[in-house]
Amino acid sequence: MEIKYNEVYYTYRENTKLEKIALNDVTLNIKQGKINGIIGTIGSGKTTFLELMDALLLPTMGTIQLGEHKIEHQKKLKNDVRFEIGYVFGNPKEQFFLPTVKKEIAFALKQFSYKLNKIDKQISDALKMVGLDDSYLERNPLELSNGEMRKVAIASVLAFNPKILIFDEPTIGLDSISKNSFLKMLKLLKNRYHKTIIIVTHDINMIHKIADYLFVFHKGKMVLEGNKYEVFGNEQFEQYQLKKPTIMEFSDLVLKQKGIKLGYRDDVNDLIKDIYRHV
Amino acid sequence: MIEIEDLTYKYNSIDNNELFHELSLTLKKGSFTTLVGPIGCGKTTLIKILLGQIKIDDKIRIDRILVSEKNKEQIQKKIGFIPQYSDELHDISYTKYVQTIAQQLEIEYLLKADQQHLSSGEKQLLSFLNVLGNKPQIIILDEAFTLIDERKKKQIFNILTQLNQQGITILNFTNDLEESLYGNDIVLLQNGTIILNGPKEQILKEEKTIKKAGLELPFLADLSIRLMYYGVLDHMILDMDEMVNTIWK
Amino acid sequence: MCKYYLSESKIHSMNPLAKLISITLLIFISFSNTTIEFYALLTILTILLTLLTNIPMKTYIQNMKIWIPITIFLITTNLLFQTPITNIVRIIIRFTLMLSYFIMLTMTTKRIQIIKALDQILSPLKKFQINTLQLASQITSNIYFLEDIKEEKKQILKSSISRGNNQPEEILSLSLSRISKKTENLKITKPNQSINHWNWFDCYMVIMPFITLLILI
Repeated sequence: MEIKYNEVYYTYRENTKLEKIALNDVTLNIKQGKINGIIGTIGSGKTTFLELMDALLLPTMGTIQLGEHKIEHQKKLKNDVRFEIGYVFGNPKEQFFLPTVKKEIAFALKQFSYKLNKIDKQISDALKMVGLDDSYLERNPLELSNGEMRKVAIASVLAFNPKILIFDEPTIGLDSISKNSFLKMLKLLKNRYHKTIIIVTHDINMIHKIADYLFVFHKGKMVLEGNKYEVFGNEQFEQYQLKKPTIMEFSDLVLKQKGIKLGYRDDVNDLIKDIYRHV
Repeated sequence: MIEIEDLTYKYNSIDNNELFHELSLTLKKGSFTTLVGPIGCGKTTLIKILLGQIKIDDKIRIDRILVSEKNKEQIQKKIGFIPQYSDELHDISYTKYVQTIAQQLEIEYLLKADQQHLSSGEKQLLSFLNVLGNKPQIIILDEAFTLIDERKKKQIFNILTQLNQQGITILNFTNDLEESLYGNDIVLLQNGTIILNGPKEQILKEEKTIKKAGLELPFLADLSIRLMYYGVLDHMILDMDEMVNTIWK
Repeated sequence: MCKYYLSESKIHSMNPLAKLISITLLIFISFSNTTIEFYALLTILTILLTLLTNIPMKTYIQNMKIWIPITIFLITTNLLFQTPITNIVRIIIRFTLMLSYFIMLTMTTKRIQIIKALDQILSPLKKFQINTLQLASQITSNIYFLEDIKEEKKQILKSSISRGNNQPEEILSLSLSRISKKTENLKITKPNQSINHWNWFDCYMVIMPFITLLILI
């Protein structure tokens, strides 16, 4: 299902003194079946952009095309479209409001009128997908550790098998093992289940590892797009106040100080081979 | 200066599993230590104990004074704490220093806004300003800058380094070993036990132990180790300029 | 109802304690049952103050929505008790004045400032080992109760809508439990140095209603 933004604007508290333009004429196409990364500084409009995708907010102007459905100003989105989109909140504490993990995961399933006898299996499968077992079912989601909460939040969205997955800052507070298993899960969701994935994050090194395509936001506009080499290698990237992946910063410094072009590598091993060629 | 001596702690009296068993740790005055560990290592509990949120008798000394119920509040004034998610409200001292720093970071608008309606990243910045305003002698950070973009983070760590050079003790609890490049020492905590403790150049060489604990080496440390293995470098380099200039003399 | 409105004005920059005292006094004054001329004067004063806050009238009126149900309640109960119409009118005027002062306070003062001011007022109780900061925080939570419930409902609704449900059941009780969890864990960081400025305007705002109160008595 394609996702297209057409001249989308979003203004907070319109016509008041506190009016703020969060999105200022954004037009872009999300790449289907790929991992799309959204990066930008605080206040660049990333989270607003995400919330519009799931119609949690409606655009002040412009339209968002979700397959055959349109999201636009003052028009309600049909519920069955929500079936296709899974939104995982940035702070799991904001997503949870039911007393047990089981109820949280079952919540979405009940809305989409799944057959009741199949729900239990669906729930266990969702938990398994994120690496948790059935022992978590009766626990209170708010009493889990940070990493466990994130996993339950993801499970509650995977449970209804949406084609599109939206993640807002999914790796904050996770250690490397959890981050890596999260990235593994994303790859699986893309390659085996052909899901379209959209991630908003500050973690440049993480998105460097996983994103097929990047969109850079700055002050409410989408200013740069492309694959990671196109984006990080773009001359204009500097002015958007973002850091490049450390490995690319190194290559930049070598070029600047020694005039040697190492090229952008994904891996330290490849980088070392490059270094050897130039020493 | 923070001294923890033979700290033993259980989650509850029923469970026999001890989280900490005779844990001892000394953080000298003016040190800048990064404390890392995987999920479940005891970081959160240790922070609560240091902040006096969990009652521990006679095991913690701050500036050589034993922390007890009576002097707890007084001692807490010496510590500035920046949490990851702040549900707190901040009564910020609008000192000139705070305003200067806010200007430097271009976040003056945060001082005027109503705190309820800020994004989580902005709240983290506000927590930072709040702690600065109180001029503490010890600053403890708990994953404090996870939602702030890298450029501001760099500026903030530079400010912390300046404060550290003026004698303020800093303890940074984090999952991101890249942040350890800003401090001097690293302590690795796993399952309630201190596995590594020492200067960063020394600790970052322990590749196997670090990876086993579920953490990732910072880029420059990783590169240094491999180049040392191939004989290109003979010591660990944690500064990018130095690295470039050493490889290509 | 009590949303803080960010703006620059004389009232916004008033010392919170002075504001709290003067507005409380003004509310007391509007309780008094006196001549129509006095009410007219008070109304003019109120309008002047609202203009002084640099908050557009439209926003004020939006925040006064609660006026409608309470006024209806006042009218119907008083009609039941067969109070004379002039008295009913007086009651409504008094209520309107009190509500406007209250809204003025919450719209020009940040929550943390109100807590701080209450803490200062309650400080003599510290001698009795009472945690005045926590008490002040609890009292303030009661003031902002309706507002907090609205926020929690919004958050729960967002999470619920994203998973396909526009009308989650028991949304009220869920909001309440979330608020109680939040207030349990709410901590307030106190600065080591408190900077409290009182300028001539603050003094004027406190003294003026005091004098008016004395005149009335």
